[in-house]
Amino acid sequence: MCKRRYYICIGVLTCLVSLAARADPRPVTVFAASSLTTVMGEIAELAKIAGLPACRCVFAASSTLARQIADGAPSDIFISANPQWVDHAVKAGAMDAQTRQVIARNKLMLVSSADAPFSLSSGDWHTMPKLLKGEWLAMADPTHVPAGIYGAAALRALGVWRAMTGRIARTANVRAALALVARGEARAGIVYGSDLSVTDQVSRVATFPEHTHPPIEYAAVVSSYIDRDAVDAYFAFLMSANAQNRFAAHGFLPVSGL
Amino acid sequence: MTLSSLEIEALQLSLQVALCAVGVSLPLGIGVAWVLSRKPFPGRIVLDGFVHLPLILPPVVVGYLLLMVMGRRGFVGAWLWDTFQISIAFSLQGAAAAAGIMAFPLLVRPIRQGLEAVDPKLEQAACTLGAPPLAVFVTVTLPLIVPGILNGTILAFARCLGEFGATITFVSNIPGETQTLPLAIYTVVQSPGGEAAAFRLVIISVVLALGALIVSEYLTRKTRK
Repeated sequence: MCKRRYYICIGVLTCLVSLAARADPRPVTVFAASSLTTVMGEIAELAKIAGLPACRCVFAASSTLARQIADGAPSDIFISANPQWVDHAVKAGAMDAQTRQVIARNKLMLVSSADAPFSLSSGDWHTMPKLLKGEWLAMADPTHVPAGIYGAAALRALGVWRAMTGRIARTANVRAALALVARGEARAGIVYGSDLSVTDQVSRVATFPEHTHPPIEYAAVVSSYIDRDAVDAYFAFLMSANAQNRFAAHGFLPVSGL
Repeated sequence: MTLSSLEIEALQLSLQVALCAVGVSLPLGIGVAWVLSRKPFPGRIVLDGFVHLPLILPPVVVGYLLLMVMGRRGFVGAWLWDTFQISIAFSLQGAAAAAGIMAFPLLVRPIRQGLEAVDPKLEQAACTLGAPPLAVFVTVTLPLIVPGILNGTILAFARCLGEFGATITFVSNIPGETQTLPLAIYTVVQSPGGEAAAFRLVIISVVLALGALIVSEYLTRKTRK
């Protein structure tokens, strides 16, 4: 009885070790800003139809991804919602600065839960703190997440940043801020224009004027470690009319092909 | 209840990560438990503290330390990468390492308690009958601590399935590579309209955890008989 038990143990251990050693070819890995979650999923489908190799996407705040890439995460393509975090990945030597390209633009919006909409007449930004009635404003963490950095810049330019301090719910990425507003946990949120098409539980209150924040540009770069045709083909596909149309359909401002 | 391929992948990955982590750390855990309970040496309290550290430290700290040491810029990781072109950060193996380290104290404790409860006279008797030390350990001690080993294994397995903080810090959240159940749940909970997917994943987690507990109960009872 005892012996049999040992044999079983040894068998199980052998299985485990063989499980640990896998050697599949890796699909093209795209690290993308979380605001690209929906559109990149669709573009991956389109790419598949166009005969391009399989791709998998990792979505998180651009800052989180940049940090992981600098630490050696296996990212073939990195798309950041601001240029600053592309610089970070490039400086770490992980990404090839030569390949850098802006693939889409975006707008910044103030949104509210669709159940409790409120309106802000144009130019009346100083009334925003009052309109929130002491409830939460959800936005991406302004210390590092691009959507938060843009949002904070806009609030500062409009002179309401200080009045809002203490009423801001900081989230790990812009989609989490959107989710808080969609669930009604936060009265309002600062998200990208493209995020509105994701859920019908959120409605637009106002668009932040473009001069209040740096231009919102999605910059893409290719890894400097990997030289694969598949990655280059995928990167080129992002600029194709097909992909750019998808960006436009989701409320992004495309940069080419239209 | 139909699962999407992403959810099935997360489930498979979680099981893979937990099995690898427990499989590799079990022999090590038995060794460490034996040293801690049987071998008084000057630095024992330090080793004891070190083993228990993951239980007390915030998981994100463990993940960060792993990244500092094993990441491509970390001092061990950089050497591994330069010499062998291997890196466990941001890979399945890295996820298993993070989970294994977090679960290690839970694995060691019950085994150590089992070892301390073994009557030394039984081992001494085997010795006087001429058995070499290794044979004594394998034929006398090990069978006596099987309940402790089972207990530790199940606890560690459950901890590995639930590991989140160290994993997301050390190996990111890559679908099909490092996105285990808790990370998949985190991802869907963060996105609007993810409630249905989150609910399915939560049910899987509950079923897995309950299953592990029931198996542990059953095995403990069986070994006591």
